[in-house]
Amino acid sequence: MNQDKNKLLLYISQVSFGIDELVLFLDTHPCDQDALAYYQELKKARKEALDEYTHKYGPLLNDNVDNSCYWEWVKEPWPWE
Amino acid sequence: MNNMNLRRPNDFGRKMNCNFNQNGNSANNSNCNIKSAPAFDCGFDTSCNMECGSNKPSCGCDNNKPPCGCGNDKPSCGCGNNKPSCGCGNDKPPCGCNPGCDADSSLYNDPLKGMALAIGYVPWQQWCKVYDLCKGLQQGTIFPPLDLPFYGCIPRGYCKGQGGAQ
Amino acid sequence: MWNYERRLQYPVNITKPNAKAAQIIISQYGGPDGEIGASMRYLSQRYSMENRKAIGTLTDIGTEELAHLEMVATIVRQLTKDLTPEEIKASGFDKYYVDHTLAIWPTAAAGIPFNACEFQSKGDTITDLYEDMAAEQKARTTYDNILRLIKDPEIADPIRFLRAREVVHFQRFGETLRRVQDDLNSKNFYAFNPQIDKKSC
Repeated sequence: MNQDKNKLLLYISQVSFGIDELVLFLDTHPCDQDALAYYQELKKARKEALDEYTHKYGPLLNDNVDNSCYWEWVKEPWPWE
Repeated sequence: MNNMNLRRPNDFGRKMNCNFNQNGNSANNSNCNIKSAPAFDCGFDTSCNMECGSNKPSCGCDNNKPPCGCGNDKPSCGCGNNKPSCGCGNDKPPCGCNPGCDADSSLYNDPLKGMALAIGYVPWQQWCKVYDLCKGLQQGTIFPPLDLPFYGCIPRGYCKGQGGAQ
Repeated sequence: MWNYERRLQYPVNITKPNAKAAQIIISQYGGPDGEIGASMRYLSQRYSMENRKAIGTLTDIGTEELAHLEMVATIVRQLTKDLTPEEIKASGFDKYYVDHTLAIWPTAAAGIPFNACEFQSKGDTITDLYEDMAAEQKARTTYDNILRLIKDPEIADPIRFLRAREVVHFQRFGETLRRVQDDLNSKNFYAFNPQIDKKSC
């Protein structure tokens, strides 16, 4: 179960990194149609992966924390731990 | 994440060395009267019609001809000490001067010729086929032309197969 | 203007303490060419920039440098958190430890604390972009120097990633400079500072 979680998180890192690279490329090449198209593809892939992760393992963003009786956000380990 | 691929450096972004005509021909200056450059430097011998060494063609080194042994990729005017200037044409370095006047330098064949001076220019990256997502994150970029790993080693070879430079 | 995601840009998983490595790598946290300097430099320069694309690049790269800062801090933290007092004493790390225990504090490897004199935000578009390009090269060189000294793949792997980013950032700042050059008169790029001078005289 932990392995699946780590695998999905790694995939999210990979697709998010692709987007990071595209954002920098598009900042200097705002009209590049190939880059714009690939960005749209990755945007979709990332959203699906994030939704799946949030549903199975909890949120990666603090604007999407479950409405329970405890602030779950501070329970999980932080990335450097 | 510890599986690091060994990659040879690629040639993206490397400047092309300027190609010289094999004969080193300078159409502008008939004094040079250049023949095919012999492969070996004859040193300072200026006698005419001297063999430049066994199996080498005659250099013909009188005052109006270039000294011998300029090498195939250098202009045949030959820039050794004490040689008369051949005047190898506007785009080539003057001959008979400092051997450090390297004809291959970008000074003599500048792809940026005509651009405004006193400022630098980074070439535009064009869109290209990108790495797949896994390799992109691993390499630190999705763009192969920007994938320029570090191969430096200190003399005792810290890097060889022990992490660090890949 | 910031949200964050609960993950590092690139994973850091170091399993063995190493005080000597930590003392070197901390230079990329608080040293003259480290990630704090980089992020503060770009995020400071963007406010007065007149070129909209330049503002985008400065903001996006500045943000990424904050993520790198986190990675460097994580590396140092993982290298030091399980150190014994004997290891602290033997490695020379005691000089840092006495003032900061095992906390992360921005300093260079040789001891100079981070300070704003280590970056410039000059307010001239061309000057600032050259400052940024130089900063990326200095950071790359620092990572090269670290890679020569660190043999452990667990440490070298995220360092290698961070170094690769500097090369890409240099290219982006270079392209931003090309954009700025396109908008200026090539007969004299230095005739005026687009951030403050009016074009018509």
